[in-house]
Amino acid sequence: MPNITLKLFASLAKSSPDNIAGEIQQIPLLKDDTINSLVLRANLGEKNLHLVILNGVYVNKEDRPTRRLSDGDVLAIWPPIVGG
Amino acid sequence: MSWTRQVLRINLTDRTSASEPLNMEWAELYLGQRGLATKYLTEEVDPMVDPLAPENSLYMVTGPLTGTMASTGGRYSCVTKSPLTNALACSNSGGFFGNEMKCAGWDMIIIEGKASSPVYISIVNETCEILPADEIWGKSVWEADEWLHTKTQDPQLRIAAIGVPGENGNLYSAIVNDLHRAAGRSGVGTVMGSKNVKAVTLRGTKGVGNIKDPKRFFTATQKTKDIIANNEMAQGLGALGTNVMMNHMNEVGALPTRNWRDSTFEGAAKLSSEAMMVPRESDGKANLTRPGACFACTIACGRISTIDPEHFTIKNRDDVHKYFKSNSGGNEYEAAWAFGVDTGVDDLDAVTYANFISNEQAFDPISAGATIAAAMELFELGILTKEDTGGIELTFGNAEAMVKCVELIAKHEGFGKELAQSSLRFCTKYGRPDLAIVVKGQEFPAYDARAVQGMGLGYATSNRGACHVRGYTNGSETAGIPFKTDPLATEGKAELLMAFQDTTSIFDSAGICTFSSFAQGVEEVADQLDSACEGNWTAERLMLLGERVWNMEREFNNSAGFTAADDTLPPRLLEEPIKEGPAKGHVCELDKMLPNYYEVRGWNTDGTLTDETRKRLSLPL
Repeated sequence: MPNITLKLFASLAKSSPDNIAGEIQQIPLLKDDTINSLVLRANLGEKNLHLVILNGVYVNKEDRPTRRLSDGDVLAIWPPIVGG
Repeated sequence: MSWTRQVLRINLTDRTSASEPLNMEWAELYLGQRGLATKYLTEEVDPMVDPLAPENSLYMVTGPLTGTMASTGGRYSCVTKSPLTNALACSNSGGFFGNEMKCAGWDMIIIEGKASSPVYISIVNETCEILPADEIWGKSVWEADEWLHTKTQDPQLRIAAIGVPGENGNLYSAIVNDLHRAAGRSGVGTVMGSKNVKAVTLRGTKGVGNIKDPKRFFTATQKTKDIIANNEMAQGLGALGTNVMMNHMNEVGALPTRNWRDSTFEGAAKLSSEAMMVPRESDGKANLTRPGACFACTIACGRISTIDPEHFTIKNRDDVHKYFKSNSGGNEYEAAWAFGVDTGVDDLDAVTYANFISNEQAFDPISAGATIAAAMELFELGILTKEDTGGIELTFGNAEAMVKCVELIAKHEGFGKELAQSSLRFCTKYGRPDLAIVVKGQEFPAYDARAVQGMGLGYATSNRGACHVRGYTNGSETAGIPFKTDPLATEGKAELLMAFQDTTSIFDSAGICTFSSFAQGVEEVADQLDSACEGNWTAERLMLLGERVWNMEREFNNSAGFTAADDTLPPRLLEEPIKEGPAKGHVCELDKMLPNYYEVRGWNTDGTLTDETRKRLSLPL
């Protein structure tokens, strides 16, 4: 079954020895899935998804409702973060 | 008037000290800390001076908000001419040293000349003594700290000191205060060591009570604290520290790996903030003990950590300082990157141990790790051999080898003496200066400029050599702060960088931490300054001041012999495309950004200021 890899980081993730590279879930891909439809299905609709990074590339907020997902995509999401 | 308006000038050659009034005309134009001390330096020190000669001076300096109740108002800077770069050096530190200086009644301490034998400088309010340091010369910062506290029997004494590397001319020696906060970059500790000064101790009981409008200041500082408290990034910095960037930079393919041969690291997660929070098998504790905050800070990005007691670096060893078996500061993102990713080492405890040593013996973890990484590449190319390294199998990913190198740097022994000369001099000695990932001789931090174009322009034009905290465009380019820009685009990056550089100059001159700029803006800084200080401090005036500080620094470097030819990047960044990941195929397109940068800066095409720019910024013609 086609699926995508969802990786959640920082305050979006639970602290766990298994999650040092993000809290990783394999989510079955449905027909016509977009970033936003997947995010809603993952119960992240209320969160501040500041950095949505699809296969290493940032996706603008306005593109997320229409950006289609494909089998094997990696979607990594952070709340607002900064470092130095 | 939150300046104390008093400067302590110390002449080590004569062993004298005297108080003098702060030049308020300069304070009006350059504010404090970074800007103000750089003004003093440009007026008092020949830009062509040998950085390690007695004629170079070291300025330890606070800002008007240092020591006040402004959030993050604990900063001070060390300003001098750098022996690493021969350019301006300005290294900023937190902890509790800056506010103590202010409480002792001083805006700035100027250290001139050279002592004929090792000394430390003791300052208790208005009393300054230059005292023998023979008993602590040759000791670590941690040993010196304990000796000074024991001698004075004053637990509240604040101490900034150098370690063995700083005494011996290691070019990236730091000045460490409060055991693990550092004025880390550009060899400011090397300058202190060249003057035979082991430490500066401070005790101030005067407080900072000269706020212009205390009631308004209270309101202004409280407003900023509320903004920071409610800011998700500031909350994240407290929870995860700066090392939260590790997984992120790896995900976007901009994590420089193995001396910048690669741009993603398979072991990044093992070094991340997330990994620092995982309980380990041996004792059930995590690497991270707790967050650490500097004076008046309401963010607490600092990390206080421990090493696994079963790890090879400390197990069955009674020759290491006791703090290695309790805790110390770090890992911050840069140290974890330099000792880990850049050397290809994914061993969190080895990296923590190396970072603790850089605290204990006061040297810059970025330059140290990067120099080791460059040596590793030379070794793998067969240019450097075990004969050169003293038997160390210096391959990428070898944690034992990385640790051994750091120990030798700390002791300034054997192969460590070679590494102490920094990566450019080291690689040049072996005929491959191209493998030194430096600008103006200073090693790069942890953002790949091929994947984050604005950072490349920032490294090339930084007034202290390659640096991330002089213009952190990565905040915008990969983290979307304050707005998202395309990290691979070159258009608009000159303007973006200039805004970051000038804004950072304001924070660095005010006495507050640049990390607070992720939450508060220049308007908030202006409100706090205007209620604390005389004069009409508006955001507009501050932006002009920030630009003035940047251009003054540029003028110093130009007078020190730097030209547009020095605003460049190593060949690897300009010619070797990234091999894989989202930025695959990209190099840093500096040539598309630099001319535009000169233009928006109001500079000539040769990188010098136009007279019009000087006039506009009230800089000397």
